[in-house]
Amino acid sequence: MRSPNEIKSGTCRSRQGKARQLRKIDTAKLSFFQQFLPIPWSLWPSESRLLITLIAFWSLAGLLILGSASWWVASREMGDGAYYLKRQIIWMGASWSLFFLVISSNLRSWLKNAGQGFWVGLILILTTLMFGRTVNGASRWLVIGALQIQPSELIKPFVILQAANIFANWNRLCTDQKLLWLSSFGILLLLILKQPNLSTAGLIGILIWLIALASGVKFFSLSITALGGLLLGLTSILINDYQRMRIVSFLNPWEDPQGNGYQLVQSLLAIGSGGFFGEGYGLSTQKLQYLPIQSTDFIYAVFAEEFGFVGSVMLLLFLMFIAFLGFRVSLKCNSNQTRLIAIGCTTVLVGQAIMHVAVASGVMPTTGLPLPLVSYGGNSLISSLMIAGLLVRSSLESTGLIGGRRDRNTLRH
Amino acid sequence: MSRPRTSRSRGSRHLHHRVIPLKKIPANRIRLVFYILCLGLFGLFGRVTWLQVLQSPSLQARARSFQTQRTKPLGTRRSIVDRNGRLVALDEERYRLWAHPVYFNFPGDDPQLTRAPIEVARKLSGLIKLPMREIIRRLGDRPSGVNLIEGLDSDSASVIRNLGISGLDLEPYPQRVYPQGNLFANVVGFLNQERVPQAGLELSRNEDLLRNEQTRVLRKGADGTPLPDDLAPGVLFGDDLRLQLTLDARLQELSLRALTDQVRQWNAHKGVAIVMDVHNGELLALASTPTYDSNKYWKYPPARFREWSVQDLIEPGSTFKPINLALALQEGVIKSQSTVEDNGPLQIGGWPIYNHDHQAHGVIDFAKVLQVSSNIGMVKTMNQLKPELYWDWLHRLGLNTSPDTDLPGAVAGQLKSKENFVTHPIEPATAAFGQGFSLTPLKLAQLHALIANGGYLVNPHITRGFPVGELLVPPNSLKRQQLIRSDVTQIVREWMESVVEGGSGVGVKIPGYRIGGKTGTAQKAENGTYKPGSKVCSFVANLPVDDPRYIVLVVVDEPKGGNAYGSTVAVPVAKQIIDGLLVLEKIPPSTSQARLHSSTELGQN
Repeated sequence: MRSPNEIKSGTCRSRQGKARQLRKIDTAKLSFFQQFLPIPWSLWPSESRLLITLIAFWSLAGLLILGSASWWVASREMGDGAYYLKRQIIWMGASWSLFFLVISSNLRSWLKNAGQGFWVGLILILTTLMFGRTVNGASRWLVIGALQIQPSELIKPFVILQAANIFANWNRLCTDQKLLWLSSFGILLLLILKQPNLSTAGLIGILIWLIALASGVKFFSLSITALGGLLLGLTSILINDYQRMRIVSFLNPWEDPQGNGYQLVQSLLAIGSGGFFGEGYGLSTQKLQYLPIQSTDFIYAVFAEEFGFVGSVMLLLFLMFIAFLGFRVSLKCNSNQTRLIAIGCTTVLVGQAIMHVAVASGVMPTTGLPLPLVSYGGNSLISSLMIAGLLVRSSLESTGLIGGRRDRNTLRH
Repeated sequence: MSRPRTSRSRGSRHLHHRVIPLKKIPANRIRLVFYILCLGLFGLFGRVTWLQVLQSPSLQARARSFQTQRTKPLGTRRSIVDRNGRLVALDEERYRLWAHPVYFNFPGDDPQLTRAPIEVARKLSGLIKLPMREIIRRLGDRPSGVNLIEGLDSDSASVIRNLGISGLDLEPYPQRVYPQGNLFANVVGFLNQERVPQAGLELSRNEDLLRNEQTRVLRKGADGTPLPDDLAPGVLFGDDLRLQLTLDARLQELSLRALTDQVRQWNAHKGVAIVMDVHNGELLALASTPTYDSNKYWKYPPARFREWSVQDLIEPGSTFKPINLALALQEGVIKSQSTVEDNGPLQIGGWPIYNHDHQAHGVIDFAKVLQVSSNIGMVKTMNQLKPELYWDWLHRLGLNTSPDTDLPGAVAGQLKSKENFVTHPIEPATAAFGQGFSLTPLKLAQLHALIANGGYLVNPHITRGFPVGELLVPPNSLKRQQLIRSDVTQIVREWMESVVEGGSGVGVKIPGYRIGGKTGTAQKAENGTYKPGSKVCSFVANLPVDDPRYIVLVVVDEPKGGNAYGSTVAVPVAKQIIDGLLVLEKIPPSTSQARLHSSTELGQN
């Protein structure tokens, strides 16, 4: 058992030694920012460097897009054009702090506590059903003082971690444990559906399923689960009038462009009027209160109107690049858990963006999902940057310089 | 290759510990997830291409139709103001209230809820002049498009708008309002319910009064905020030009009141009072009675919608005598000191001619001829003028052509043909005392302006044009032709002054002011014969005599009563108008002596 590890740790030790030397040399010149990094920038693998740069770019671009999308409606409704932007910047600061915390802390400890985090999230979601603030018929928020907590957003990183925990050891788990966790996931989905929040439930369901797929679970069981999930979704649609209405209006929004189809029609008009090169930054007309919820669920429509086909393609290429980096990180990871964490984080970030664009462009039924790092909302930001942090941390741990079993153990052998 | 071996070796160890082997997660499964994400992205690429490249033109067109608002021109008209900028006609914004009961919903309601008509009626009943029952009756069972009420002013419209009831729609429309009521109706005219001009300046200057509003295409935010892009130049530009009249509302009102009183008192048919600037032809007052209220035109007989003083002909009678004397002077037939013998009735061409009082006045000068209004003296004087020459003069004065005026519907006077005039001696004889031909009161005013201004024919008019901004239009530049020598008119004016000093026009005499005048009491002809007892009483004055600025003409048609003469019917009206005119135009007394006189008189008062 030891031998291969020793070989590995041997290589580790030599690299680590180099790192220590480097660290000593650079101590004096250590830049201010380096102290926030778990390992020196020069030792970062290229995927991590690219990822953190791209996520920083994503956040900044997100602020710019949100500024354009929300300014008008904020000045009309709040009397201050920067109302949403200011709050988003504060949340962005908080979320980036969390991001740095996450990339500095061991994934192992995250994995260890994932179960507890998951249960806390589950209980909070249960609480929203009882005490939650109800907006548009959905109780998704818990109000604590000035804060509004959306547990279904915040639980996402813990779902990734716990799914990674479970599926990384899938073959080792006894049936009881498999059943316990599968039913826990099922209960989570049911609770989110009950809020009702079909889109988040769908996203988390797909996420768990994709993690399971990545972990190598048999295709047969995967297809059975997929079928079960579809049935669950259909039942939810059949039970909830509002969801059925949205499906109907999704299938033909032009039938009732002033009523049920209104949101989708306005979104399609926005995207379509962007044309090839777009109207230009800040020049969307549809955001002038034609488009509903333009700073969260339909922010892509504003982006598409302002930046056109060119901007949309850039966005899709950007997402594909993130997905590719996530895929590379996942392949490089040493342990099954981190592999699944990496691919799970990639799936949430890119998959949620895909679903958001799909909803805004009328490919999926209209259920609100925020565009990660762009849409207004502190919960979404916290959750997205935590997930991004987990992804970067996975990449950093793939170097073997940090993470895994405590370094000192190997060093003291 | 080393990795699988590693895991296998690890696995064998686990097997030894009764642990199921832990395989490293296969890369192809992770790749599969990546491919699934890529598949999603490609799908979106296809969708985005469809929406933003292929469907973009039609979606953009649809979006624009959502976003842009075409404001159709309301067809507003320019205002009309008097010479001092006082509003005579203007467009007020009024509102039509439409109800669409299927959309009835109060602010704060569930969007799906439809309120009953009675709830809306209860809210509206205090705000519009309709009882609740009537509102409900009008709403009936109709789903939408109910025209509840018209003519709401902007205040009540904004109150209704602030209720925020959906399903109520306020449609603005302009309404022509004439704040001066009947004061200018005779010249301004009116618009009918469809806003089609029917009479007066509204009709004759329709093209100029219409504001050339463009259809405005404006992109707006959903809350109605206009966006500055795609805006055609000038669409937000609206001129506020106003048509300015030469009339003075105060003088007009004074004239109309004096005239109306007199016409009523004498039970006359109709009357007109004209005040005209003799130098440029501007009318300061053109009061006509009976008239109508432009705001309620439907209550009056349509015959009143025309201004009779420019469209109806009268025989001027004695008020024409000063014109004839000017012609005689101009042609050298008489001199300023000449006299004529008035020795009673004459027979001309078999027709008897009398003075109005059937008396003879003996040898009299021409001041006296005017003072006593001697027909015989006039006939003898004008008899010295060759009929051809006389006719030519009447023609040159434009008696039988319509005057160049902006007053709608002005007609030409009627003069016998030259052949008739020359061959029948009675024609020049009757023309000598203003009978046998006819003209409009406006033409008569123009001819007297000629006497007053030194022999120039000026065009009588009531509009000045469209002043720009706050400035009022300066009086028109003088464009006039001289027909009579100024020394001739000077003599005639002095003769006319004597009429006011000691003749039939003594009624307008105002201490300190030199006023010339002439009364007239013409017989009315109908179907070629003179109607007994029906007369046209008139009086014309010019003032101040030394440098006349204004003429005042009053004509009253068919006053009843034996004592109805120019001096009794028309002079009192002219007196009131002249009193007002002196004050309004701040005309100083004529001489220093007179000024002194008037001031002592004031002092005595």
